[in-house]
Amino acid sequence: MLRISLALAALLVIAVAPFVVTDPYFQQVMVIFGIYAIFAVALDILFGFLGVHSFGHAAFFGGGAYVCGILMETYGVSFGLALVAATLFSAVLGFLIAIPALRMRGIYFAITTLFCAEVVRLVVTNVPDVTRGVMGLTTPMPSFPGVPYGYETAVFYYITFAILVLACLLLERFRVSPLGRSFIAIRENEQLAASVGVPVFRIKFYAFGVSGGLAGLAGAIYAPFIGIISPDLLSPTYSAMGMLMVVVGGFGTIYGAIFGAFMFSVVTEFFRAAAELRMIIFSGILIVAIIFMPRGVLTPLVEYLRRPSGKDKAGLVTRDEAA
Amino acid sequence: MELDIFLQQLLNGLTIGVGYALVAGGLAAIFGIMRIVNFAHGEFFMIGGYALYYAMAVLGLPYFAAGPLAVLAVVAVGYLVQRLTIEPLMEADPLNTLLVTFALSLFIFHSVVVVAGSSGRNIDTPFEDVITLGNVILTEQKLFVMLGGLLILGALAVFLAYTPIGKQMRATAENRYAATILGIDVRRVDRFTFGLGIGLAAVAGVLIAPITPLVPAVGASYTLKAFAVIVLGGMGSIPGAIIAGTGLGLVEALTAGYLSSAWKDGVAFVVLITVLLTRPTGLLGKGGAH
Amino acid sequence: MTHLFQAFDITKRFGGLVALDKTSFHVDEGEILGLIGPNGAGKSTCFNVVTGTLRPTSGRIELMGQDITDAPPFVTARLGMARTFQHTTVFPQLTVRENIEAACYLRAKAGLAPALLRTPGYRADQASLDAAVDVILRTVDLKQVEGSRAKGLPYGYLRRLGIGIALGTDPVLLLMDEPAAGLNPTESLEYAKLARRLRDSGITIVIVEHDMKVIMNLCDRIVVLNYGKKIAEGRPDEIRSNPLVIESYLGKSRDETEADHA
Ligand SMILES: Nc1ncnc2c1ncn2[C@@H]1O[C@H](COP(=O)(O)OP(=O)(O)O)[C@@H](O)[C@H]1O
Ligand SMILES: [Mg+2]
Repeated sequence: MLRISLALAALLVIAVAPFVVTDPYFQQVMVIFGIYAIFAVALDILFGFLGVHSFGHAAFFGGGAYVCGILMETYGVSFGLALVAATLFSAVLGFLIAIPALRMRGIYFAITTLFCAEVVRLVVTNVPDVTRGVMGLTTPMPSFPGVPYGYETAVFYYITFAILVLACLLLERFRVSPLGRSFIAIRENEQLAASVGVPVFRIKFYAFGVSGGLAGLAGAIYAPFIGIISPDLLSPTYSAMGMLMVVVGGFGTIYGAIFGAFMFSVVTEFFRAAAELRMIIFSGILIVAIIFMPRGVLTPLVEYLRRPSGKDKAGLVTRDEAA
Repeated sequence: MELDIFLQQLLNGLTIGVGYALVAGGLAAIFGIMRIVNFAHGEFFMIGGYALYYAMAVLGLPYFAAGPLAVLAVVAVGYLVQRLTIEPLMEADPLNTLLVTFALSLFIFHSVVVVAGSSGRNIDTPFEDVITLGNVILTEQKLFVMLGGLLILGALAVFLAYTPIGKQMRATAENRYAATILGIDVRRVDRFTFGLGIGLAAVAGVLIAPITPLVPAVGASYTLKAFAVIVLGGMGSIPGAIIAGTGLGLVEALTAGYLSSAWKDGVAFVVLITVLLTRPTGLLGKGGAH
Repeated sequence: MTHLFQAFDITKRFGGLVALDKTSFHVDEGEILGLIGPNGAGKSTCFNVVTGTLRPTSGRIELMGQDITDAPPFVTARLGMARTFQHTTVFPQLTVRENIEAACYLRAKAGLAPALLRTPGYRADQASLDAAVDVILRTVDLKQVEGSRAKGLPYGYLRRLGIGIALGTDPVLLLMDEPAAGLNPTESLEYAKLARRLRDSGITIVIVEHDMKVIMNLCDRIVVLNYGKKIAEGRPDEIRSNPLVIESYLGKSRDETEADHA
């Protein structure tokens, strides 16, 4: 019951927020929050569910942004179609990067994903005919038929949050499904998961595609919303940003990732006077969080809410609790 | 003359390669001994350059006084970073140290952007003369980089081979657990190793800064290249890192000279991914732990 | 008559070390086969090789007449072969119940889309999975702690959970690697009972075990390994009186185990 009421309350807040927060600037901040949240949730599929630590997710976010931007600006493709194309592009990119990366373990995996993303950035930087290179690519504001001038932000808001809510709903259902359990099993103990019939490689491979696609979708909303994108979007800074959001909030809970995105976009807004300070503060928070709260800020709370309803008949005190 | 151009590129590559060797040598030491993947490594190269700049521009020191001071300052920062953020995580999941160094790299990068801005800085070189060998031109500064770098690397080799702490470092790299049993204070070795690794990066920064435009982004670029180098040289092998680092500098210079300078940064990536796919333990050396 | 499982001349080398040396053995349907041998004899390696965790250097492995020599673990599991590990292995952050649910991957019939849409078919599948999980929890006597996180459970519970996880695959053939290691004598006896119950429910069992009393009472047949070679094979009474076995293994080990029990 508690969970359902929480979910309904969250939906209500999301639905009415643009009517309450009417300041255009803060509406923009909310959209950015939603976009980052989708990106973070995408990353959590790999980080939190599978224990696969991609250090190059900027490739998918930025890749999606560029595909959407180029299609809209250069080819005049509609926003909706560009979103779909960008998602597919990033999903395919995910499969392509997964092939070499999944052959690696541990730090080699981290380095490989990081470098694959660098290759993408290098390519985008060096084909200015298509991407405008370091100059940056301007992307047009999409036309939303029937929407009066000045309300575009609200439309972006509802698109973004509709995708976010849908992604969360599906992921939550997925999490408790047999296939979802097998994801967690891989995270917990890969060898044991394989021994009970879980096709570890195949699942990681597909997850890379899904995670990449979702990150690309976030990037695809981001490009026309911001209006100009540069190869910086593909830099390790953005990969780190995604990881930071997931880590600060907590792995594998979905809500942790959203909370991390909230911290990153809304809370650090208070420091917007100096935009650069934001990254300093955020990375500082992250360093402290990793050292003192390695399981994230929200994970312990979410686990408390999800705890099995006290039917522990034996009253067994586990070592965890006793300690 | 074709040969002149080739030799010229070779010299340029060697200069940059010495820088890569120093940075990657430090990274290899930290990985080999502490089993830490330091994603912030290149940032220490970068702040080495900035420390040099400020020591010269603000304190008005000459290059030869500012350089050692800059290295000391960076090592002090590195020591603090190690004690405050790495040491508490040595027993934790390796992912945590990976993430912490990644966060550190952002922290350092953005701090420098705030303090110094993202535009480039130029550092006055104390050397003015140019040495010409036929049609090949070698500035004294580049000669200094090469000789200075080689001197430092030689000193490092002697240090590791003959000093007690150097021997302890090698023992710890060989087998951390056995080192503890032998009574080696691995915590002290770790602190020392991190300081040394950071020091090598800072030395490279001080040597290279006068010959390249200094921007905050060079840090990340050096981190990535140093990673390519240590993968190539066999993770954790210092000699491997030095050879591979010099090699990368040469290949990049030849790529820039004969193909295109825009794509020269791609060399490291291509080499790295190929090596990872074909010989995941590196070309040289038998490689570190997975 | 064809055997349920057969290994032909399997060899496994680790560099210069020959951990398994041209070993052949078979398992018949419905039996409990004991695999014994001194430490380092190659028993765990044998399990790793037949389940596909390790590739054999040479040799051939068949399950129900099908060649599984190069099959990876998730395929051998699919074909009906489950195993437990010598060292305790569970999914630490999950509850006991979730551990078993995760292990029931192969039993789930509904695909991804029905799971996301929560179709009636999916719900029915879930209900039958829930029932299967309950049966397993009762079989390994963990129902009462189903909500506890695996990490932090007492050792004996973790060993049972390891078996429960293997049962999640609904195996035809179950390989148990030293299931009683580190347990007290009462718990060991529980084990033997559990193994018999599983066999009676139709699962064929191969068990690695050091306690000779348990092995001799429990097994229908025994295979003895030493230095990676099969040195004997037969009924418990035959093994007990086999001079080669006594010399290389049994004599010493029996004294030890009896001393333990004294
Ligand atoms: N992955 C491995 N790499 C190298 N040697 C191994 C490996 N696994 C087992 N061995 C060696 O193979 C031999 C057999 O080991 P094992 O199968 O574990 O024996 P048992 O289970 O009978 O005690 C031992 O000498 C062991 O050291
Ligand atoms: Mg064993």
